[in-house]
Amino acid sequence: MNLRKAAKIGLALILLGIVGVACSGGQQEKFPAFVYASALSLESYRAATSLPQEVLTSVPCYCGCATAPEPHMSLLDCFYNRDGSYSDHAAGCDLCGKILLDAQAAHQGGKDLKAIRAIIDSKYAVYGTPTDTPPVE
Amino acid sequence: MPALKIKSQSQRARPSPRAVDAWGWDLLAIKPVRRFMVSRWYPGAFQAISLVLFGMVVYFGLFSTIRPAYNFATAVTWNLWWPLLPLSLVLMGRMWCTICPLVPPIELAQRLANPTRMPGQFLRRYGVWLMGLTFIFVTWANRMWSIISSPRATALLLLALLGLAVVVAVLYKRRAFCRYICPIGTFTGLYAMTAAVELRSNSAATCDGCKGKECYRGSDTVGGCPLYQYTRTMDSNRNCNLCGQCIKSCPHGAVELRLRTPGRELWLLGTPLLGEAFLVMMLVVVVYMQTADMTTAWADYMRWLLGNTALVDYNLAFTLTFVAAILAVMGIYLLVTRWASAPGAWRRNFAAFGYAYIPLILAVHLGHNFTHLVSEGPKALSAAFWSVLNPLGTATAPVQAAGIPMLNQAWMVPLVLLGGTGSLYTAWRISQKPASGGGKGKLLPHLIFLLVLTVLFVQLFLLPMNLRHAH
Repeated sequence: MNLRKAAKIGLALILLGIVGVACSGGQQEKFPAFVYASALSLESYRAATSLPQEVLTSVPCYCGCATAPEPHMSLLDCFYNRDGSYSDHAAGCDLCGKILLDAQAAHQGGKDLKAIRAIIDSKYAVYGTPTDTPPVE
Repeated sequence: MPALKIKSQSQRARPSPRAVDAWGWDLLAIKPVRRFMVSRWYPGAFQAISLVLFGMVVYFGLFSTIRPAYNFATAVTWNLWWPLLPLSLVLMGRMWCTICPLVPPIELAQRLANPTRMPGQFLRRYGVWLMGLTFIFVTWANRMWSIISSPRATALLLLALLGLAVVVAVLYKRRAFCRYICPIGTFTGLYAMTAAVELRSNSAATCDGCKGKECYRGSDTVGGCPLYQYTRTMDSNRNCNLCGQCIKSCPHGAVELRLRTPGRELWLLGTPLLGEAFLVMMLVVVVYMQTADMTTAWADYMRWLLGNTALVDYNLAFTLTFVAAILAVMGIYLLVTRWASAPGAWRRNFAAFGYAYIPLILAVHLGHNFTHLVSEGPKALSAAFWSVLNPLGTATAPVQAAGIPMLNQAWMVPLVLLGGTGSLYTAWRISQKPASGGGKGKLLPHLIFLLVLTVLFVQLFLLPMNLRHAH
């Protein structure tokens, strides 16, 4: 088989694959469109929905949202509005996503809230002012 | 030195410079310019500066703060150098490639290894495709691993390029990496074709009578052309990095650095390449997707894609979209050239008209990058200074949480329209050449495709942009 023939077959297979994936049924995601701005954004919002809320409320955010006109209190406020709907803040902020994914990894690793908080504080303290998140008891 | 072959195109007749371009006066007639170009400090002094900056980028990238907005590596590489690069190509051709920090390590490696091989047929034949593949890979990898927002990844990418460049330098004489492999070479060569300056022979007769061919082979004191060009037959900027070696080595003073009408090379080019037309179409996709990615419409599209197909992984969805877009644009261009070409002249049409799309892509790329430079450049400069003052990245920086508006529609749209007009004009000029492979009255398919692309780019810049936070 010559190179040109092989290239044509390869191309046809790629096209078939793309069409196959496009035609297969999908799952309806429940997030608003802004969540899909980047892979990190989607991954972190998915993680936010799967984590217990106390993890999000006990972890501070270091992105600068502590000094915003309406200061955030914890990582929870980066992902959710006060009325419980999704906030678009974390969709445009890589740091919120990274902190959340680190918190998720620590939580999945069996760490308790105090240890998760310590991991996040030690890694992200260099970013400046954290949110005024109450210490973990 | 082994015998070096110079292709027989040296016999091709060539009009005198002033006959082809009224602007074409020789900048080397200006004494300070000539002194600069033949100075022993050029390009060495600039290479030294860029090498120091490269060292700093790698050091800060690996060892300083992980905050991209405050790290010298990410600030200088992606917020200053990257946006300025296309502009430098329009103004000065591939001069950047001469002062590229990878050049001194390449030369050092070659002094130590003393390679004797010239690039073989594979590299010469498929080099342009290789460059395209490395460019696609780096673009894709950036998206997968967010290289531009990671100082560590930025440093590792540059080190990987350095490693590859050194390996190729050890294998082949001169700069095979720059000519055939460098991912940045993909668009530096293409955009340099629009530059307002060109380095050429000023006398076909002198060159034809020249026995030494020092511009190509080098002299006792100066090396030959690093990009394997013979000045006599050179009709394009794509492989000239304005290093000045031919000016220094030519014993007849037959090399000119002349001004010209920007872009005229696109339609006067005597050697259009199929691979370069492919690169141009690939750039259409890359430039479009990198801009689309910053709009809210991108998020809408990804939501639809992930919600209505079996895809769950965002990166896989992006990859498939990227591949599909490249195939789609290539397929459409293929149909356009089939329609536009005279019987049996499809390949010539495909290659020749590819260059007509460069002004449009360049305009989009320039506008996109320049807006980044305006909105992020000052912060990047202050970040670079802050980084230098705080080499370990341990001090706490002032917080920057404000959103950065990514693009400014007020001047993006006119710029795209200007680029589109330039492309339409270039297509018309190319269609006037008998060698363009066009059938009678078959300019229309290219004009339609160019108009569609221009409208798509304008529409893209009218979409609302995402706000992103810099940290």
